[in-house]
Amino acid sequence: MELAQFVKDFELQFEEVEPNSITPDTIFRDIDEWSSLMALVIIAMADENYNVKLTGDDIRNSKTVKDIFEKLKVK
Amino acid sequence: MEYSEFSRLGVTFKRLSMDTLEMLRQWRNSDDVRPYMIYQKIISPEDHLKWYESLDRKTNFYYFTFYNNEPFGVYSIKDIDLEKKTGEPGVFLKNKSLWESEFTLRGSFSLLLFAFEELNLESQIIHVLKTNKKALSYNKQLGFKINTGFQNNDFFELILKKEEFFANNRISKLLNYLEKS
Repeated sequence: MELAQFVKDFELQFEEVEPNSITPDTIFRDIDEWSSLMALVIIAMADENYNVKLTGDDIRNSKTVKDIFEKLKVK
Repeated sequence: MEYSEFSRLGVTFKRLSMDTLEMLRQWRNSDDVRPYMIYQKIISPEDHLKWYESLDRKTNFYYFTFYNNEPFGVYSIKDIDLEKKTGEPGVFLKNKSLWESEFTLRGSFSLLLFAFEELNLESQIIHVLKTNKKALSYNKQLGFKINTGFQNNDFFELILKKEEFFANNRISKLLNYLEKS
């Protein structure tokens, strides 16, 4: 499981962000498109692509994209 | 049909009744709800009762929603036009802290499904204050599109069509996820 791939997968879930504009250090709540619905989209993506069950708390307790990846890695 | 109670995606919907009418008024008048509504005046018990008694229950469905037996919001489909097969969904939550909870999304999806599948609506229409950016963004992500032909200084009209909702890949994925989790 690689961070770069996760960042790419994360970015692909958004419809209005510029390609390659999201990095590991991106504070995801600063993305205009971010919402509770996008949180669920990310949780569903992690389940489908990585077979890992993130929770709402995992997202709530994260600040950057890398923070989410770190939570994904230890599950 | 009365649809007095139903459950979907883990959320239970119980139709508004005289027993829960006052709770609705208190939530609706709270500072967590009232400033975000198009009608922002404090609603008196008398006006609230008049409103309730004037509701046509065949075309207006108001529900308290429960997750793990805890009430968390009021979800509604109102002003249903039985010929045009349209209606206006709405939601407000007990308090602001619930805005980012997964179960509020479960409630939203359940309500949309209920309107399309049980009430057989072809489209759902909402009106959102232009200043309520959070609600605008949220509803666009659910698939609602701004009706550019609708002109109003204070709010937008947004429409969600049944065929577009069910053809939306992101929505389908989320529904699959919510149904199995």
